[in-house]
Amino acid sequence: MSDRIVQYSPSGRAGAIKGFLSKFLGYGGAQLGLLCLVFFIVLAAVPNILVGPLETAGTATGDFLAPPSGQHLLGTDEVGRDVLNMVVHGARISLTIALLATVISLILGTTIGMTAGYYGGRVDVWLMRLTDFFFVMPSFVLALVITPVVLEVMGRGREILGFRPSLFVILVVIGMTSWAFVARVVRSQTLSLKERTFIDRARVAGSSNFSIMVRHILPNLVPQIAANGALVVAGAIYVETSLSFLGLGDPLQPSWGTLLSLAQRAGAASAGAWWYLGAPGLCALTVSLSFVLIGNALDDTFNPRRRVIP
Amino acid sequence: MNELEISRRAIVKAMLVGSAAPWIMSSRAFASSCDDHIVRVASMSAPDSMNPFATWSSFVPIVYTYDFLVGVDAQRHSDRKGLAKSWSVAEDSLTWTFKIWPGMKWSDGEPATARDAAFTYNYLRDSIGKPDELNVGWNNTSGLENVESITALDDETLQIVTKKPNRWPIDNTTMIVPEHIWKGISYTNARSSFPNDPPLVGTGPMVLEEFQQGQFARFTPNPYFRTGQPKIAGLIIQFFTTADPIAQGLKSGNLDYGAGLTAAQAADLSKDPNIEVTEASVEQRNYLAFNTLSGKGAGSTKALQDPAFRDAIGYAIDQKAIVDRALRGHGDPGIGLVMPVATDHYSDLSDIRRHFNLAEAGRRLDAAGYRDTNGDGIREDKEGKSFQLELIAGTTSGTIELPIAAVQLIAGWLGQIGVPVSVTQLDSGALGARFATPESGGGGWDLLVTGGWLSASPTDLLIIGSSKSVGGSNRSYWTNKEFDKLVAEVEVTVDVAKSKELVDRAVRLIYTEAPYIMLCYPSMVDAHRKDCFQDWGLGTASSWSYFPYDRLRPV
Amino acid sequence: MAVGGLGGKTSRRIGSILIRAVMTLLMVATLNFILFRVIPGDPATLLLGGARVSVNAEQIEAQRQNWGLDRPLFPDQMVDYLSATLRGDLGYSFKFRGRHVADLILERLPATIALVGLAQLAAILCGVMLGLYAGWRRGGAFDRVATGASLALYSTPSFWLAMILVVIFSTTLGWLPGYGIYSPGASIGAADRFLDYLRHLALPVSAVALGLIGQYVVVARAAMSDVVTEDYMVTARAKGLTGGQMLMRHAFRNAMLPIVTLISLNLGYVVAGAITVEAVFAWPGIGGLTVEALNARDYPVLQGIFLLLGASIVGANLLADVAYGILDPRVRQ
Repeated sequence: MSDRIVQYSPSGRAGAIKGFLSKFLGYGGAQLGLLCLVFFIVLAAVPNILVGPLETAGTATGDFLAPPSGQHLLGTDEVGRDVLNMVVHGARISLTIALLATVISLILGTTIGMTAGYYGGRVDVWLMRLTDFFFVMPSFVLALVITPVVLEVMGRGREILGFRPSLFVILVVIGMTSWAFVARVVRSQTLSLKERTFIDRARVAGSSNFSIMVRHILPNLVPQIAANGALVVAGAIYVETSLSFLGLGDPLQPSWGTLLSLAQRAGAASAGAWWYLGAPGLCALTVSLSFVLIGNALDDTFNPRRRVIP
Repeated sequence: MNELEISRRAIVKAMLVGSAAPWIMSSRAFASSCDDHIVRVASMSAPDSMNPFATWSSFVPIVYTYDFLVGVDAQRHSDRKGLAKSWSVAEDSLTWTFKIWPGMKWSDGEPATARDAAFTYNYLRDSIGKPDELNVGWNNTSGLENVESITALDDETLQIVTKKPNRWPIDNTTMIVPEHIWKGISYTNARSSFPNDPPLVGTGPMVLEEFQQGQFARFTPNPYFRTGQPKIAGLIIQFFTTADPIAQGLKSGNLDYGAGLTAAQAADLSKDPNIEVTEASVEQRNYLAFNTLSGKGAGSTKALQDPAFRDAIGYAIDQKAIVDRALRGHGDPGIGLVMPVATDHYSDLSDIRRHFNLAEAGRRLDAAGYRDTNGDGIREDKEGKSFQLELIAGTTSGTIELPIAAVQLIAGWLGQIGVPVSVTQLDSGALGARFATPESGGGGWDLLVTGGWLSASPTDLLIIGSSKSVGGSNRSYWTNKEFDKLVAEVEVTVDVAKSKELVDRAVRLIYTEAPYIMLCYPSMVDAHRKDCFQDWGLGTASSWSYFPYDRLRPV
Repeated sequence: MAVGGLGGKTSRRIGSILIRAVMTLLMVATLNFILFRVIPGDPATLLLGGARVSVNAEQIEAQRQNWGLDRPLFPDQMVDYLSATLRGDLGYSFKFRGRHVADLILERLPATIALVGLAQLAAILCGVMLGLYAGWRRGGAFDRVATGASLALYSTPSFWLAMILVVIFSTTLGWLPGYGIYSPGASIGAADRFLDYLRHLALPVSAVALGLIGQYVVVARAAMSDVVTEDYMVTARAKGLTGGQMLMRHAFRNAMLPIVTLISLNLGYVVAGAITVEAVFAWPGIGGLTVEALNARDYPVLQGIFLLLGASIVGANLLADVAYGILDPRVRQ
């Protein structure tokens, strides 16, 4: 990475993007990941057209825990709801939670990492100790404890952005607890960037700290943030699924994790109802895998020698 | 070829590991064999201390070691008794005389007499008013304030005299503990840190030998049990937090008995010829409570305080659908405060019952002044505000979980009559904080779906409407002077017929006022294997005592 | 001279790592305290038995006093907490009637350590072996399958894996027990008891290990591919001098550093994953204790668990940092 990056002319930038895309799409993993993702995004976008409105205990028509059949392609759950219907609707919940949580965590992580790296000194020390705490405590364990608190504080009243309050809480908590990794990466990148000459030039030209950070440092962080962002999404899906599995999800707007929790509580595993367990789990796996593949491909594109994870 | 060598070594290693696997798997049968005559039982509970004065959570397993004087089972079943062989009450309804089984012994061989019973009750009673009053566990002082004296007239006769007529002497579920163990324990220790480590000394059929918190409790038969040493060689109770392992264990033969099964598991297990699935009516009731508070802690609309509004909502709840769809038939539809298993006080209220009818619910809401004036499909309250009710739901510890499907049904019905509901599911900790008194930070919700499991005594039946229990068992905060008067009267009534009449009046009063809509009385679904043991009796193990482990026999 | 200078640098480096670790731990302790006080749910009510009793206000107040819950949070309760923690006293459990938190945790710790430790070990052994082989045969069918499977396993929630294993091996085939740590009370010899324990370990360990294995495969594969493409190796191969042993050693050494990092980085995620896996298998470990304590709002126990978790992760990072210095001479310079 060099000073040239920020000096791109518009045509040069378009060329760079073109070059990036052709390289990125050259990876088989990226293609597969994008394909799966598009599929699930379509599911999430128009669930009502595909499988009708979300079935409830009131509108369920099927038999109790019936195995897959022509009428119910993925079988039914313990109150007779169609599993396919719930899984498709779950796509919307799971994807939105994961993506919004990632946005929150990227904003938090970038802000904190960049501030710490840019200002250095005491700011850096304290922000990094805070980061250490969130880095040390696994975000899932933290979220497990924080979710009831936030639920209590904001879990009253109406839907927020079309979400039932308890879902909104989960996505906020995941966002709040999974930024430490991003903050570390961004900080170290910022540390090396701020020594570059173009930053000095901007400073001499009288730009404020804020504008230096937003105009000059942030654009150079984009590749890092993008590659890590894809992995944060995968992590967010994991945390959401686990939290919901332990009963913190919203059973009335079920995500895939909540479906697994409902299945567990209904005793699906011991009753051998593999369709009820299998469908939501496979979906979570596929989406998470897609993001890992995309993240790896992005990382390979930007930085061919190094891989972040796994 | 080194390359080949590497993989060859890997293959040998893999084969070694692989050959161990079937060996490990082939030795699977030992845990499930019937030969050792040990009964293996699963329980959905998380006991902590083994000290009955210090905890509510350890009913299972310590109930298998201790006896009640009389308790619930001895009154319901002629073949089940506690420490007392027989009992009677004098004409004045104040003096109770209990005949203790003659020649009884504690599990350590010491004689067990009426004096031990007198000691246990007096130990509790003497703590009343002290800073360390014994009121934090299963053995507690509640009810003893009405007791004048507890005396052992001789080794086999116990006399309890109450201040007012009262059924406490036979209804109480105090576990009788041996005087020679407990006489030196201070109240401070008894209510907190005294662990009462195994082996416990009791008069029950099984002696608790070992307790591993979060895992299991192991019992050996009590050689001095009053009807002779039990036929089984031991009892092991495993503790779980979900029902899945229980169903698995029953299937694989690693468990002989398990309770708290889900409907899906019951259906699956009943296909197994070695397993018998049974269900029992229990004292649990699940209800929808309205937050009737005005002022601090009030809900989002004043309509909640209006009996006409609550009554109309009552027509929008289809209890039968809840039992059919959410419980899959394992329970009874909710009616009044009294559940069917409380046969002494049960009534089906057929003359005043509300029957599910959404149109009727709508008409009643219209009549009470809750109309949809602006035509958006949502009704407005009398202040002109559109309804948007917050419903909180959750299971409190020690009760059968109500599937969330029930809440979904309710939200659906209320939505159809123009009263939209948003649901929040809470864990037992957060739930307790929400239905606490407004002074301790509770309130603020609109509707609550939860349940409780108390005894079938008239006091416990009426407790959810009593002003004394607001913030505890009375979760709607509803209070009524007349109701309280009936409660007070029932508390000093010994005669069953009289008590039934009083309870019925109270039940009808609260039914019309409708601070609660009873949803269902779920059944305890359980299963036992038939291949190792017989004489399971009713099939279901008692939820109030140690039966049938006193009479269970190896096949 | 040079040696002394180097030693001074190293000890200074280790010193600064230590200081940082201690600061992080203090942060963990303080934030823990704050965190657990703002959670809703009144412990006094819960202590009185929640649903099954009717309690009055005085009883609740007495209970608060009894447990020191009536005193101001700051500074009283907080100072008490921090100083006691420093003395190694984690306090008493609310739920388990005054039992020492440390005792409760120690009681549950072995089960979790067995689960997590064995799973890590299995994942490292199998993962490294598979990864090295995949790297050696880079681009081949085995490599593709192994890499694909690794990524898939990495993306799989381990509790779901656990449930699927239960459905297959317990419910359907009936080969292995799907819950618990051993069959209690079976009157059997020590050898059989150990076998019984192994059988109970099989599924939970597999579930956790399968979730971890992918990362080790990828790391070992990368290390091997690096070695394979080194010039001297290419020449050696061209000459037909396939030093399989030498190759392995090189690849192994190359893989050591990232593996050490992975182990220390993973510890937290392993324990977190173990919470859900423990829930599936009714495994009597720290995970189960966490959930129980959370439901009972048992602050001291939760604080203790968090402190333990924080300390072990900080400790693992510390060890990894030190190991870095030993494994990679460049760090020392």
